[in-house]
Amino acid sequence: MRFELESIGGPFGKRLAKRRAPFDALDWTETFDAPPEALVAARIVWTQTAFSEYASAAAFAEIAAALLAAAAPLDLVAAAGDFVMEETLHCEISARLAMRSGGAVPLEVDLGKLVRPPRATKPLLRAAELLVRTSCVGEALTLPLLKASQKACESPLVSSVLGLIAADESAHAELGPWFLDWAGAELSDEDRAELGVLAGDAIRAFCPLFGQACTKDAARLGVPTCSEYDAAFLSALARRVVAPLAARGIIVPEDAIAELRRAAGADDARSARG
Amino acid sequence: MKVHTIRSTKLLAITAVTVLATGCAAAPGATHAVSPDPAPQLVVTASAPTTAAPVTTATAATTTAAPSTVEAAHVTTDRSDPPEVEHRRPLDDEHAGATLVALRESLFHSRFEGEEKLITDVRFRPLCDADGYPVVGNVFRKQSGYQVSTYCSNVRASHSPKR
Repeated sequence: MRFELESIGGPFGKRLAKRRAPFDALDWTETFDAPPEALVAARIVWTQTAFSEYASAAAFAEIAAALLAAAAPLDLVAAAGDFVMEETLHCEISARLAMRSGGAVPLEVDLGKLVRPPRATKPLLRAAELLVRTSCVGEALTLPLLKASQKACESPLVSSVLGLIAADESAHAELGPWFLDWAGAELSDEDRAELGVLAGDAIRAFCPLFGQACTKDAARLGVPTCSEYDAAFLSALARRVVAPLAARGIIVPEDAIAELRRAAGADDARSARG
Repeated sequence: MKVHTIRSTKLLAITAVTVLATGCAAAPGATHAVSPDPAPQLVVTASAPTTAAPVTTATAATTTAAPSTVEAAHVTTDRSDPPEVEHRRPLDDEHAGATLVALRESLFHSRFEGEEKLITDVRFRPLCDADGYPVVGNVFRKQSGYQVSTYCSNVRASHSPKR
């Protein structure tokens, strides 16, 4: 199906009003004055971004349920639930920017496959799988990429949106490590090895993002250049994904890192280990 | 609890009209200004085409009960230098009257000739893993893969004068 979004308003719109207020306070009257290709690139990126946020909301909803099943601390559960709302709001704001850039591009999505189901049967390990993939890999990479976009961005509106989203994302990246620290002794060496393989698979899936031409002049609307993006990604992979997981006994397989670095045109896997 | 009459608001809409209006129909080096319309109301206006391909000026959004949730995407394709930017605030539903509101709805949901095929022909997919699950995180921050130039040529082909 094609990805489009709607809201219903009323009391449920009002529930979001307080959280939406910082975004509403921005100057949405700004005119986007950019070369045609940059506007199209912005529409593509912001439509894709809206879907990424949508899928992240689904992932945190699964995580909240998995944490409940694993008898995790209640404040972790509540945080996961809160993140569903934040990702939903980010989705809405990204949609707003896509519409401001000229409208959504037709994006074909399968809403029946938003989140990869965990392989494990034990509730604790199921929660760990979801959190490693979503929080320790996905969200950990998101924050520096948003900051790279913000740094390159010339539009005050887009820059402010990126800043507000980034402010939420840092907590999303912390949930996984906190859970792993709590679960600690309950995870066997085999469990940790399995989680490392899973993280490697998640990293490999990013390979198609690299090695292709990028649109010039789109940075002003929050679309960084390839070189800025690639550098931020590889740095974040080492510092924010591989190292924190290793500190918890979860080793990302060398070949997964090497594969990504090859895709990005970088030399070897060693520097990605940081 | 009483039964509610639900009137949802489009937050994200595929607008092939603006596909044509924004970027793709432009000559190399042209600059487009995409300006907002602060009032979240539907307005669709037709303007004189300035390019070989049919061009429409469109503002796409919907009427709403929660004004802050919708941003009108107001696109102009005037190639004069500097670009013309329209700043018009449409009447809200309360003041527009039933006839105008009905017209807005009709225009918003209408498709121009060939638009359905255009949307079918020109489409994107999210970045997914080998099993079709979307990659995790908000990492799609660079435009890659399906290139803008390819996209625009497909748009033009889909909306050729023969159609």
